[in-house]
Amino acid sequence: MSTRRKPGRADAAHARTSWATLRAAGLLLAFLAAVLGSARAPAGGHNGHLIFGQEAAPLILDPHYTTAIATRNIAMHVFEMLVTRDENNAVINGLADDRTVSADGLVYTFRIRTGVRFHDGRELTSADVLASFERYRRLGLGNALEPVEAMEAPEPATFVIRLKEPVPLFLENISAFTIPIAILPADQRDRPGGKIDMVGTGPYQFVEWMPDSHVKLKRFPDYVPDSRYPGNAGFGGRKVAYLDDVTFRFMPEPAARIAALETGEVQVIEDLPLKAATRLARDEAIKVHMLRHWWLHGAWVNATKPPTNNLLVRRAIQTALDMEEVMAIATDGAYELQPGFQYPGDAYYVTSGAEYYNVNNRARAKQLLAQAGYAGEPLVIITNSSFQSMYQAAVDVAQQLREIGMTVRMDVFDWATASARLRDQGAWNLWFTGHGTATAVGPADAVRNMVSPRPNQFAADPVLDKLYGQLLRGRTLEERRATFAQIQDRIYEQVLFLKFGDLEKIQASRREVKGFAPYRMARFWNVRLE
Amino acid sequence: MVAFIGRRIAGAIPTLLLMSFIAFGIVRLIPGDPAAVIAGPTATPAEVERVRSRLGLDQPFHQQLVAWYGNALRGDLGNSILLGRSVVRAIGERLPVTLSLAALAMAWTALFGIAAGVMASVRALSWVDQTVLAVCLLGVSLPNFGLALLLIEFFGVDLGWLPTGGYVAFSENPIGWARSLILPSIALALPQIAIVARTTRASMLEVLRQDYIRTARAKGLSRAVVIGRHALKNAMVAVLTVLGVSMAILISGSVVIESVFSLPGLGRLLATSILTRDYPVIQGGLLLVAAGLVALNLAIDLVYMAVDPRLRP
Repeated sequence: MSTRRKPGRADAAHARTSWATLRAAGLLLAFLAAVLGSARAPAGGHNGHLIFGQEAAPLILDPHYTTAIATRNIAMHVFEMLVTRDENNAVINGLADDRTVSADGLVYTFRIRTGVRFHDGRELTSADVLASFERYRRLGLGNALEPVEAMEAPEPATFVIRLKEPVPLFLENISAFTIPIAILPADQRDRPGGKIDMVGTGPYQFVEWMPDSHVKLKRFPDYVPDSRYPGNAGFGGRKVAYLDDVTFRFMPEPAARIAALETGEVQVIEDLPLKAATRLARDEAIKVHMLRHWWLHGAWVNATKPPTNNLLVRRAIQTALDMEEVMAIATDGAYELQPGFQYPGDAYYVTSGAEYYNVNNRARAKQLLAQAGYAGEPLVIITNSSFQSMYQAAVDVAQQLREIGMTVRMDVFDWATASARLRDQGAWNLWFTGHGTATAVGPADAVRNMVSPRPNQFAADPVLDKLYGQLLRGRTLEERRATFAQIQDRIYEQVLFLKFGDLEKIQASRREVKGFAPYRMARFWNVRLE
Repeated sequence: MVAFIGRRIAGAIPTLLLMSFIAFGIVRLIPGDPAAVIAGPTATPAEVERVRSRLGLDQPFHQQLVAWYGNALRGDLGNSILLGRSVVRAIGERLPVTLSLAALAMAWTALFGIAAGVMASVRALSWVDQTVLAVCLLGVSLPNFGLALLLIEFFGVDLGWLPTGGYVAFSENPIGWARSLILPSIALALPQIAIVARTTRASMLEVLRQDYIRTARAKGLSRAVVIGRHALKNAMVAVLTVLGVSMAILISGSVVIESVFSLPGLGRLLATSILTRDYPVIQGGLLLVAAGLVALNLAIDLVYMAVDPRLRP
C-alpha cells in the first residue's frame, strides 16, 4: 500500500510561494546586476568637466554678505573686483583699467575696462560699479567704505570715490577679499543680503546650486581674459576658462573626499590630513599641493579678568608654552612656527617680538607666577568643537599650564556659542581662534580687533591704539611697515594675543589636472584636464 | 476606522503645538545667533548688531512668536536666515533624499532583519543561530560612521563597484539614484537590522512553542507553511513595534550618514541650522519631524490592526 499522500491545497500554496520567491530573487539579482554593473556615471575628468571636493557647503553665495571661504571659492569664479590682490597680496587692478589718487589722498578715480560683459550679455559700466559699492556699503558687513564721503559714476568708464579724510590703506581695504566688493549688475543694488542673481563678469557663470550637494558653474564663452597679466595673479590676472564646467561638490567627511579623489569621482580636493597627504603623495595618479601659511593659530587673552589681568601672569603663560608641541598636536604636523602676524614674503612681514615667542621655559614661567602672586585662581579657556585644531590646541595648552601650577578650566562649545561668549568679558581668560583671511588681507585687518573701540582683550591699550592710527595714516609702505613692527612688538610685550603658529592647507589633485596652483581660494581658471 | 483616524489626528494637534513652542523657545535660549554667524568671529559688536537688526532678531520674543505662528497657520514656515529661501522650499529640496535613504534602509532592515531572525529561531542554538547573534552584536556595536567609511573604502575605492558619495535624483537617473543610496542605506540600516533580527528571533521562539504550532505540524502542514503563515504572522506584532521605532531612528538619525556620503538630506540641514542658529529652519524642521513621527505612529497602529484583528476598534 502506498504511503504517499495526495497533494493538498497547502502544497499548492507552498508551490505558488516557492515560484513567487524564485521570481522575486530573480528580479533582485537583475536589479543588483543593473546597479552594480552600470557604468559609473561620468563624474568628471573627461571633456573638460571637473569636480572639486570642497569641505564646507556655503550657506549663501552672495559675496557681499559673508566671510565664508566656502562661498568665496565659488563666488570669485562668477564675480570679479574693481581692484584685487595678486599672488603676493599686493593690490592690482581687476576690472579697473587704471587708477589714480589725488595728491591730497581724498579722491580715487578708476577707469573701468571696456568690452567686459556680464553673463547676461550686458556690458559693464561704471554704473554697475557704483551700484555694487553702494550695496556693499548699505549691507554694512564689511567696513572698507566707512571713510567714503561720496561715490559717483560721471561717465560710463569712470568711477570716482571721495573720502572724508585720507586713508593710505584705502586701496588695500577695498581690494581685501575677506568680504570682497564683487561687482554686480546695477539692478542688484537694492537686493537684500543673500538674495542676488548670480550674474557676474567672471570666467565661469552660474548654472545651479543644490544646497548641501553642489554648485555647478560653466564656462562663460564671452569672457575676455585680462591681457595685462601673463597668467594667474591672485584673485585677478589673466584667467582662461579651459574647462567646460566645474562642479563644487560639498563633502564634509575627509575620508570620503580622499576616497572620491582616489577613484576619480572628483579631480581636486581640499583639506586633507597630513597623514593622508603623505600616503597619497606615493600615488602616481595624484599630486599633493601644500599651501603654507594658510591660517594663524592662537588665542585671545582677556586683560581684564583675573588672573590674566596681571601682566606677569600673562607673561608666565607666554613664557611657559612650547608652541612646537601645541602646533604638532593641533595640526598632525602640517604647520610652521614663526612669530609674525603677517606671513613670510608678505610686504608687511616683520619679526619684532620674536624674543617672546615660543620661549618654552617652564622654570621662568613659574618664577613669573610667583612674582605675580598667583594663588591658584582658575584660568578659563574657551575653545570649540567645530574646529578640531582649536580644540586640540586648547587641550594641550591647558595641560602645559597645569604643569606650571595653574588651575585651568576648559569650556568647550560649538562655534556659534563660543563666538557669543567672546563678547562676554567675565567668561574667559583665553579664547581659542584662528585667523586666516584677516591676516592674509593685511596688517590693519590682522590687528583690528586688538584696538579701540572694542578690543577683544577688553582693555584698551593707548600705545597700541596710537600705533594703529599711525599705521592707517602711514604715507609709504616703509613707514607703515616700521609702525607695524612696533605694533607687533607691543602685542607680544603686553601679551594681548598668544600666537601658536601657522597652519598649512593641503590640497590634492589628480595628475590629469594641469595648471592648478594653490592659493587662498581654489582657482579653476587656467586649469585644464588632459 | 475613519473615526479612529480622526481622533488620532485631533489628538496630535496639541502635541505639535507644544512641540513647536518648545522648539521656538529652546533655540533662543542657546547662546549665539545667526547674526554672529553671518558677521563672522572677527566682526565687531557693532557689525553684529547691524546684522541682527536687519534680520529682525532684535524684536521681542513674543512678537517673533506671534509672527511665526501666524505665518505657520498659513503654511508659511518663514525664510531661512542663511539660505535665503523659504523653509518649506529648503526642506522640500532635501526631504526626498532623506526619505529615499530611510525607505531603502527600512527595506534592508525589514528584509534582512526578519529573515535573519526567522532563520535563527527555527535553528535555535545551532551554528546558524550563533552566527546570526554574533552578526547582530557586531551590528549594534559598530558605529555606523565607522561602517560607512569601511564600505566606502572596500566597495568604492578597492572594488570600484559603487560611488563613494553624492546623490543622484531618481528623476535624473533611477539607476544612479539606487547606486548612490546602496552604501549609505546599508550603513544606516545595519544596527536596526541587528535589533529587528533579535526581536524577531525572540518573538518567533515564543510563538513556536505554542500549542497551535504543534497542532499545525501534527496536521501535516509543511514547515514553510507553519513558519510563514502561522508563526510569523503571530510574531509580527512585537516586530512591528520595533520596525516603527527603527523607521523613526532611520529618519532622525541620518545626519551622520548624510555627512559621510555627502547626501543633501534633511538631517544635514537640521544639523547645520542648529550649528548656525538658523531659527526658522530649526523650527520648521522640528515641526515637520514631529508631524512625521505622529503620522508614522498612526501608520504602525493601522498595520497592527491589519495583522491582528483583535486590535481593531
